[in-house]
Amino acid sequence: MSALRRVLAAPWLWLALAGLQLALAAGVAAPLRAVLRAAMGPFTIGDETQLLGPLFELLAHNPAVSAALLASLAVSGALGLLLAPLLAGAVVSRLAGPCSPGEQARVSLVQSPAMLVIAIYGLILRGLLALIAAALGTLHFGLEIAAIAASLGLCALVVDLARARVVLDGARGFHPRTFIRAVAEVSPGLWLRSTLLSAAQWGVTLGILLAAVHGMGTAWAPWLIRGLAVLGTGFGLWRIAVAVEHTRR
Amino acid sequence: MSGPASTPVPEPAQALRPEALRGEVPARARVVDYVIDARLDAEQHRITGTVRITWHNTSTRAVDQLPLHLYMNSFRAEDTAWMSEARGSHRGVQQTKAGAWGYIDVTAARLLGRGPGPELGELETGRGPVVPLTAREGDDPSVGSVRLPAAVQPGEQVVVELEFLTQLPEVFARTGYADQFHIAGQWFPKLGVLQPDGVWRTHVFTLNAEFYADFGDYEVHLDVPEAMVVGATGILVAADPPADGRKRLHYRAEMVHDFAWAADPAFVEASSTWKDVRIRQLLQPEHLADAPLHLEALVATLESMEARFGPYPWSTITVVHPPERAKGAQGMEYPTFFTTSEVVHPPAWVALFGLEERFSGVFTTVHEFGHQYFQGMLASDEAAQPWLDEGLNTTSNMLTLADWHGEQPWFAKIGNQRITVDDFVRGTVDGEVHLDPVDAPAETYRDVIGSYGDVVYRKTGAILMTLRNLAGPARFDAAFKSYALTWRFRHPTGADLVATLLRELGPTLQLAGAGDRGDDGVRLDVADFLEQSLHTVNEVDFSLEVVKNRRRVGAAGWHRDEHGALTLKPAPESNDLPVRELADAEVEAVVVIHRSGEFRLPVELEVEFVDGTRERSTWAGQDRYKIYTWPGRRVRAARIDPDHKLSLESRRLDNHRAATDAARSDGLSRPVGDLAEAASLALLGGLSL
Repeated sequence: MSALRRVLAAPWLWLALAGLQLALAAGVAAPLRAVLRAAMGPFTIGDETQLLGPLFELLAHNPAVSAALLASLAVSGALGLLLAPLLAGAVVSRLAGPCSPGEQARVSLVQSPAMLVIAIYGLILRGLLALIAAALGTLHFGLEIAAIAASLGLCALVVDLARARVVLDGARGFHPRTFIRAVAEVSPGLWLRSTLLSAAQWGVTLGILLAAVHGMGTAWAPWLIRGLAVLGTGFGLWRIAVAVEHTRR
Repeated sequence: MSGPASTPVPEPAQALRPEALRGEVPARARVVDYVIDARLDAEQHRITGTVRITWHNTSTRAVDQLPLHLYMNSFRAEDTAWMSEARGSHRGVQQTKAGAWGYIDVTAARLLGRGPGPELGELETGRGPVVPLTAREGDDPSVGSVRLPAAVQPGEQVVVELEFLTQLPEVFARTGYADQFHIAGQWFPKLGVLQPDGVWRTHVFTLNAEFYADFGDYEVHLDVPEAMVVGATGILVAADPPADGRKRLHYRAEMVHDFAWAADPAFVEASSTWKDVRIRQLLQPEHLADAPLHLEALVATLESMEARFGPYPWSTITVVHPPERAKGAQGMEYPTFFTTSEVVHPPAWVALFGLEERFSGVFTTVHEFGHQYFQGMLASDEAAQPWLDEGLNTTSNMLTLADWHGEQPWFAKIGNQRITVDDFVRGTVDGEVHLDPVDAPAETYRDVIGSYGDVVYRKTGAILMTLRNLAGPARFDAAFKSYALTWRFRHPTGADLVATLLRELGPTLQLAGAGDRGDDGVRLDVADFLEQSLHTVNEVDFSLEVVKNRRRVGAAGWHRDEHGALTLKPAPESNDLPVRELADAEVEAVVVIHRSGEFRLPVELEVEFVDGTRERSTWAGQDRYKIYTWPGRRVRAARIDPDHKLSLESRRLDNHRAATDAARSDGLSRPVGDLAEAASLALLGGLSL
């Protein structure tokens, strides 16, 4: 089974994760919307095409709005960091084959500490590769950019492989050797596929930001952004499925 | 206009443009001439020289001393008036290290001659026996004086010569050096200004006080290392062949009140012309590609300002681009010469987000050139009334940007949003801006308060743009032009500006557009507006207290009939209905506008009714509030100042309000919430899978 088929064979997983993501984003933004409504009181700005002037005025005179805005971003970032380890067990087990929701939940719960440790190993690897990229940058800026792009794909792949080994083969998730073995498993083909899919995820994230900035205040932008988020989740699942596929062979 | 060229455009033959092009340059404005012979030691960053000053007593009083500005002494120690206020920092640039002080020392002074010469220039080579004089410093070393052996009578001229040594500081505030880059501003002993009443005006140089001087002609001989590329006030009239690694340059400037120059071996030149005006840019090599951007801005400003304020009188303008390590020298004006800042070129990916700005580099060029009019030509006393230069110039910059880019030009853009120049200015007219009035001497603005820039530059701009919007652009522009033309080379005061505006606009004026709807009962008291704007810290702020519909007063109850008997008229059944279910005839719209700021001025109110019609009224704004009612009509929303005429009103979020029974979005919570949601989705990044 190809990696993409594994994703398409688990539509509810995709929809559930995308839905969770949309719900979390909406939930995080909801307090900010409430604070903004309270700050505006009975007044309206009228012209929604000229938002920055009123927004700066509101931020200047309402520290609560600034705090709510910063809090929403901080909570989103924290959720992004924490949810991946929490959900990774379920994702890997479902992509490996049919698996009941209860079993997915059990695997997630049991494996989340190991998934968190693997994420930390991934960050360490990312830091090391960033240093190498910076060193290459002293030779040529283009080299640095290429090295960063390649390292992002590599880090994601190694983390995915390590998690797949832990969930599917019972490897010891806390032990660095599991992570190092995952590094050794990397082949050029795997690396390329993971890098392309990571790049697609980053492209979707960029698309979300571009749509947000260019479509601020419009009716179409939020729906385009939500659609992109669903697509981004699909790319993420596909990338993990590449590691699962490799582990199952 | 010709484009920037690597080969220099020839020097103009005359320092002033031809008479037919330069506009009025009154000969009576010429009061003092300078002949300077100076030598730059680029290793010691030191200038030594002599300055011969020929001064004409145009007052009605005899004077027996000549007060001097010794500006460079402000950088001599940390307890000078300037440094004690600045605390070693200017516009965010820090003094680099202890010991990089600057100073000026007048080492000798002598009287060369005196006499009744009818025109300045006759005595400049001296006449009579040379008499040694003594130069003394004042309580603050930024001023000094030379006592004369005998008083100079009204109408008489005197020629004095001073020898001086100027040690340049490492540049952090306009003047000084950075490696081999040297900029010499306020670098020589300079005479104070004798006012018509016979009182000398020689201000102590303080942090925000800039300059004030009489007009005159300058002949300046500069001896510099041969490798130096030099730019200066005026035109180069002669250059001796280099010898012993040095060269000698002779500059001439006419009808200017200061002389500055810059020298750097790294300068590359980009020259051009606009009409007959030579434009010379001296850039760092890495910024040469930006020369066309600055040229375009400069030409747009020249076009705009000539049309609005009359002819530019000089034949040249030199634009100096200080290097990055001399940021403190960026953005400063001298006659026919200014320094600019560099255009910021963000990484290419930033363009994806539609991020653009018009304030780095290009705006500096617009702003600093604008000073050629208000500082260079009208030449008000910047220490006494800094707003007459900086504030009027900021106003002119806003007009230039509108002339260049169209009405409501943007200052910055991101995505589909823009910050207009008006947004930027009104956003600064808040907070500490209400601590100091506009019309105040420079030294009263304390650095620790931080109000100077917002009050003097931008609040003045907001005041004049508000007046322009209320009076109508055509009337205001004509008045502003009249001021500029009337006071060329005449050192106008704030009172002169106010008098011109009152004369041209009238003591009261009908608000632009108000008369079109028969609403001309409300007039703006121009004198009162200017008095509040310039001399108080009153804030312009209006809000909508009430916007609602309510049941009209009916006729139910006991009334006496024609026989005097009380009769009861029953209440209609509809009395128990909510307002939204009443017939329109039983309803009245109510809007209460509140003047929450202390500034009293007329303001427009626009009411939108549920039938889609709109109605505008003008409120005089003298009382604290006004109640408007419209019997038989239902209001949907109301808006104060619908055309954003009041640039002075910083807080506008309470200017637009929907009726209590009308559903309407606040306009901000949805798009900002959507933006935060999008940022969350980007951060969650597919749940970081």
